[in-house]
Amino acid sequence: MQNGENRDCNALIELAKKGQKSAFTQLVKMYYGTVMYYLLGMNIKHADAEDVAQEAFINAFRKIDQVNTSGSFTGWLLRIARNQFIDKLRREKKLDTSGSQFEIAEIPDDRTPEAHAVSTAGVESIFADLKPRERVILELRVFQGMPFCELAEIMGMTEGNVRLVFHRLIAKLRARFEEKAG
Amino acid sequence: MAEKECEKIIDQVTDPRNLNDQCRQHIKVCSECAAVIACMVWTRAKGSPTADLKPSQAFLDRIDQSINSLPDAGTPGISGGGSNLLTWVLGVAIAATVTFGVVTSLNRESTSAPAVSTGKTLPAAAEATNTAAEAESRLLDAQPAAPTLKFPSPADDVD
Repeated sequence: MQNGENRDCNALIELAKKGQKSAFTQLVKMYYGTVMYYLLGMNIKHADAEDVAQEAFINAFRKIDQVNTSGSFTGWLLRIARNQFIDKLRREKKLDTSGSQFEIAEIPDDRTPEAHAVSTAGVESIFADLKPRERVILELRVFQGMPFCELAEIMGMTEGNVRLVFHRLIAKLRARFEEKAG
Repeated sequence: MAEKECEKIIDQVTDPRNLNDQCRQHIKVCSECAAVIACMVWTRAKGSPTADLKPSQAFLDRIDQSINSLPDAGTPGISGGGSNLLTWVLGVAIAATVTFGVVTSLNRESTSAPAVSTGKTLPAAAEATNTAAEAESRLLDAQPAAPTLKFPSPADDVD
């Protein structure tokens, strides 16, 4: 997340701590994609991931007082999502993973006309074939500057593994970049 | 510079807070790293890879409904407030148990009326104990001496 966005996020967290539910709704909108891709990276169906995300956000609201704005809000939120997912697995013994291939058609398309125009201009296509897990790693590392050690802990991987995935991802993006640049 | 060095530089470059002069110098002379940096800048300009997934209105409504049914964040009853309430209930329960124990013990002492006061009892209880002891002493004084039983001696004549 860029610095400006980080400041916005911290301001929203402070407002949510004071009980402003609308501020928390803004946080839900901001982090929905990250939480969803994180859960989809665990190889579960979109509908199940959405249920877990919903529970995770509600739980996050209950515990919002525990957030330390000097730490990583995303990391905290994703840990809640992971615990929620584990709880769900325990409750139901196992989730149906038969539909693990995430279907784009299921995603509600309620983007603004501007965002839609940008995406149709090919902006999104660079991420189009990235796996959910790769998207989350890219988001957390490049956009939020999360250290590899924390990234590894959140993703349930070793630090070396995360670095390897990240460097492969960079190589993939670089190839695409050079292709676009002509 | 070795490929391993470049990887370190790329690791640092992806987190701008770690970008130091050494990195900057390296980027100027290493075309590989410069290309990766350009790619990073390009990627950042495209926006977050997770931003294409937006919550549906139904999802937001469900969240709103759930959080509206909860008390406000930071009020007792949720998060830290729950443990405060539990501490308060436990405190009251312990205080009630101790009070009950003391009262029961005092009642028992007042009915048993010990001969010697320990001096550690509460003033009212001590007074009650002393009064009971004095009354018993007065009663004993007022009573006539107990009759002495006389049994025949084995030396007496037996018919």
